Amino acid sequence: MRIIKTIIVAMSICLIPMMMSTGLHFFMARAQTGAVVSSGENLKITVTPVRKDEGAVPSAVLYRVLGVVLIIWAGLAAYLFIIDRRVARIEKEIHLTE
Amino acid sequence: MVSEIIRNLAKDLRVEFRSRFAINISLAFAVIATLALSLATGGIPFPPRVQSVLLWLIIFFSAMNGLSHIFVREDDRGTSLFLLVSTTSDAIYLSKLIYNLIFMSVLLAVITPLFVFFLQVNILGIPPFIISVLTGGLSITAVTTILAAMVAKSGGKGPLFTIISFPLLLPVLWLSIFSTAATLESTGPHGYGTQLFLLAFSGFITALSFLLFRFVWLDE
Amino acid sequence: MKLKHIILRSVYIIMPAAIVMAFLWAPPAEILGEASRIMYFHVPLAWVSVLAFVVSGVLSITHLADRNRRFTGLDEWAYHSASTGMVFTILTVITGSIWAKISWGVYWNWDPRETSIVIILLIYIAYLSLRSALAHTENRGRIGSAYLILAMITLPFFIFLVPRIYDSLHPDPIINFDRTIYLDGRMRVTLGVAILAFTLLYSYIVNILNRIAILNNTVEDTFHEDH
Repeated sequence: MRIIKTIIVAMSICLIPMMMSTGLHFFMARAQTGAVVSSGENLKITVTPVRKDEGAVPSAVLYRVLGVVLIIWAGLAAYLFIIDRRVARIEKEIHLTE
Repeated sequence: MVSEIIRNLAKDLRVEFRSRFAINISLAFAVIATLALSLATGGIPFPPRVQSVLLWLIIFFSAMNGLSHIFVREDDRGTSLFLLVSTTSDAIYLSKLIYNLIFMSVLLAVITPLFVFFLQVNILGIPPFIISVLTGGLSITAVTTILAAMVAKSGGKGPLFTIISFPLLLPVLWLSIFSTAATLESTGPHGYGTQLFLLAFSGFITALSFLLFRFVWLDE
Repeated sequence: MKLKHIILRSVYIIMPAAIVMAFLWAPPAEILGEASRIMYFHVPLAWVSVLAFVVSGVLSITHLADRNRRFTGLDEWAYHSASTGMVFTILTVITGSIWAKISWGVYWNWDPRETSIVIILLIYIAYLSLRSALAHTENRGRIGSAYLILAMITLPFFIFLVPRIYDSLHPDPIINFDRTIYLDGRMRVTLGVAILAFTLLYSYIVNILNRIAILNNTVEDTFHEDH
């Protein structure tokens, strides 16, 4: 039983590089001929470099977003802190009774 | 070990042939889906890529309807304990895997001609098409056999099998869809890279499942 | 024991520091401008979701390999890591699609990175539903671990396959003009601090969940002993 298992494991280990090589080969060939559809073709980068000039404007928005993120974090932190303290208290209680 | 596997397999085949429940359900699903598609299109053929996607969707869902039954039945009838007493877990896995392979080949032998017949599929490269369908079916079986055991252990909840199979089957379906579409589209020379990859993948997954099966099937 | 808790609780200081640094201290990027600041949240979230996945996989392997039961609760630990990781993955997808909308004009276009994060998300969903379906089975930990190992072994194939099927728009490119990732010193420090903060947050949450699970088990044990 042991022996069969080791053989199987060894075989599977041999299979990995083989798979990798066949897969690599196949997809390299595919990439060259372009037979496989690439969704990237019809979606060229649509970056609009408008923002660069508006260096001063977004700061108000920036502070607002910062505020919102900080408030979310404060809520999460408070929740975690309360749970942590409660767990610590119960841990101490159980430890005392044992 | 070999005699155990053969004994178990013969028993499984006999029991399943008596009831024919799982295979009937799977085949009925496949026939209904194919006929519904053909009826809805009214005989206008789809483009090859769509045909390939539909073929693999039908194969995937009919397989999902039937492949878990072999393990779920053992749990349903309460025979899993007796099976465990008489057979080692490795022999159980291998015999169930072989049974599922037979099941899958029956399924493919019915679904594929039906699909080709009703949806007016024009296959340009017949041998590569057959090979890519067979390797895809093999990989689906290899991946889902151990998952079927997990589903059976959780009480045979049907939809769960599809949910847990899908992430693992995605690479298989993906590659099969691409390679099948390629055989439908072009007459040119076909490389067998994808099929080799799928063969190696199913061998790898089978080895891993063989090692993991005892943890799934044996209770602590 | 004491030191571990101090390190984990330092998240209360490091996280606000990272947020303030990301918004006020780091300079805006060349093309994306102020919107590039989402990077300091998106990249750490993505890192944590992959980290959580790997951690649960390694814990599952240890759980199955450990036959003498030297460690207890490894499967539960893996479960907590996976469920925390799933929340992080969802957040990664959300921040990622906001960024995609800003820079490419669409929320979603099956980019390789997007595809792989969705596959991780699918695996998390499948694993968690398997765990919940196995609720009253003794074998729950072992079956869940086996599934996670299978999923983790399949994942490298994806990472290998996906970029070859679809061309990539997204990976590192369009932060600056030359399509390479170029970060100046302050951006790099901010990103490092943010990654540290999010890793600490993840470890802290998993730690709390573990402690709750341990409490649950001890309470149940004493209950069974009493009755």
